[in-house]
Amino acid sequence: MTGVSKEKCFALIAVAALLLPAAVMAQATAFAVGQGSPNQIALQVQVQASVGGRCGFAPSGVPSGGFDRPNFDVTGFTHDFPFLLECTGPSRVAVVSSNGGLLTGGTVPSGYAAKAPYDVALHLVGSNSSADATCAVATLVSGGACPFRGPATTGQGLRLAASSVGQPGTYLRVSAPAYSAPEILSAGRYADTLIVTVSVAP
Amino acid sequence: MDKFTKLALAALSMTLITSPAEAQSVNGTVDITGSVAPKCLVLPGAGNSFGTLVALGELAQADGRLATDLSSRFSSIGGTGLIARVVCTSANPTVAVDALEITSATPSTTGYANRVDFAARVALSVTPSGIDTISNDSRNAATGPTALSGRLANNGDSNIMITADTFATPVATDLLVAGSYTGRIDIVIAPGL
Amino acid sequence: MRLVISLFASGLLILSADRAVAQSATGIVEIDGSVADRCLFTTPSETISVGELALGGTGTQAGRLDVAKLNGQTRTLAGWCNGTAATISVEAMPLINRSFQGAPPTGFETRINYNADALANRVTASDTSTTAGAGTTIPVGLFTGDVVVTVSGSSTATGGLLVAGVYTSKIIVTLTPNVSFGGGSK
Repeated sequence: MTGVSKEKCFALIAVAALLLPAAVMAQATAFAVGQGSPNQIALQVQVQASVGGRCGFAPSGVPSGGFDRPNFDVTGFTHDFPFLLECTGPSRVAVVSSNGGLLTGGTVPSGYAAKAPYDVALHLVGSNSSADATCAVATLVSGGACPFRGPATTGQGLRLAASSVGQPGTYLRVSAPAYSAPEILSAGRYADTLIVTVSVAP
Repeated sequence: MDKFTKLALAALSMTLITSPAEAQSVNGTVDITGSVAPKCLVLPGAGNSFGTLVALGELAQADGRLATDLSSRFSSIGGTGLIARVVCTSANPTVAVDALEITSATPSTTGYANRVDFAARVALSVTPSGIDTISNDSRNAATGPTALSGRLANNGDSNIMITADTFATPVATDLLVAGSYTGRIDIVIAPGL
Repeated sequence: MRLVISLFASGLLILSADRAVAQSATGIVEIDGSVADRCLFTTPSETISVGELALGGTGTQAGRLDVAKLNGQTRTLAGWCNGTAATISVEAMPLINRSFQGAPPTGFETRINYNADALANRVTASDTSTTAGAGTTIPVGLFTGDVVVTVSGSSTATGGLLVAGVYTSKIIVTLTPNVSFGGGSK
């Protein structure tokens, strides 16, 4: 192998590594022109590959952001968080709530509440169909009964039967009417965080 | 570049094409926040005032002196108007009470009075149990905002009741000047801050 | 630059504090009542018993009215009126012989006249028994205290002999509150 450049050596080793497990192994020898025959050998490399299912959020359409409503107990609220799926096949979207509701600090006695309910709705838009579901946020905590409680897996979450790539119109909606339960909400700041996940769902 | 190198690089390129798809983002986070203001409400209806007019009628008894049954009369005439239901969103609401004596504009003279003093009492049910009573006598200055021992009870029932007692003229033997008399009880329930 | 920002922030804080006046619940119980105008006699009656009305002895005036028996007689009632528009009046009724019916014979009397004053709250109502009915009603106003009744000016029509018998009379003091109902007392 003297006189062969390092690059050539590496290339040869790489080719050898690929060729060794391959089904076809050339046994003939090729000679330089004028020194024998044949002068070239056709190598056949079988290529086996597959295209994996892509499913996630489009880089520009990851669910994010925040929404604040002062005096939400009086006004109620509704807000959409739009996002974009990038799924080449059917998908499932799921949601987990950190607090199971809008939560404020401190404990409260009977007759009072430190957590306010709201609804979470998913609207998924695909190439030729859409999917909708709504759950109370209290069912979006660990062990909760909402069908789209996260995290999303191939079997858990709201299923969109169609592919969805660059399809506008998908959103997560949070909403509540003016608070009317008998328990009085304690004065203060309230917060919750929703984590949205997506999975392939063949 | 010789043939061998070209072939190797071509093989390497095919390897690169068949590697798995690059990772996408699969989770996103949204935050929802809001606020509930410190406030006190009269239920039902979320208004902010309560009260009534107690028309006591004839204040003097037969001998011209102040009637002795005004406390029970105040409650029976005031009736459900002396009961209310108030809730506050804050943990330590305050209650201020001011009893304003019942007076007539007619000037009085020796042996007479045109003023009837009394004590107003506001009983408030608190959580988890018990009653706080905030009082004010019309002979004294107003009772300023006083913190309750807990939140106002919120159990579907009324939680405030107003009574009045110790009605008296400045001198016990005073006769009451004829005329019309007015007085008032002012109560302010404020969210403690 | 930093100073400017701080001031601005403070201004915002002040504005926020003003706007954050929390909603309170206010209760107002209004009380009203009334005291009706009334008068009441707490000592409603007194009796003047003078005994023998005629002069004794054997002189020319014997058997005629002894004016000293009546003049200066005074009794004190007590009462009150709680209204500023109360009034007082007095009615003096003649002292009449109840034992004798009909007109007395010439030279004899069966009727004695006199004047009565009622003093209350520093005002005096008067009447004479010679005319029927009460005297002039005068304002007495808001008072509680004595009503002093005094007799004066006793006389007979002709100065004749008093017919024997029992002579009785009344002095009626009337306190009237502002309104016609509500218990004027006599």
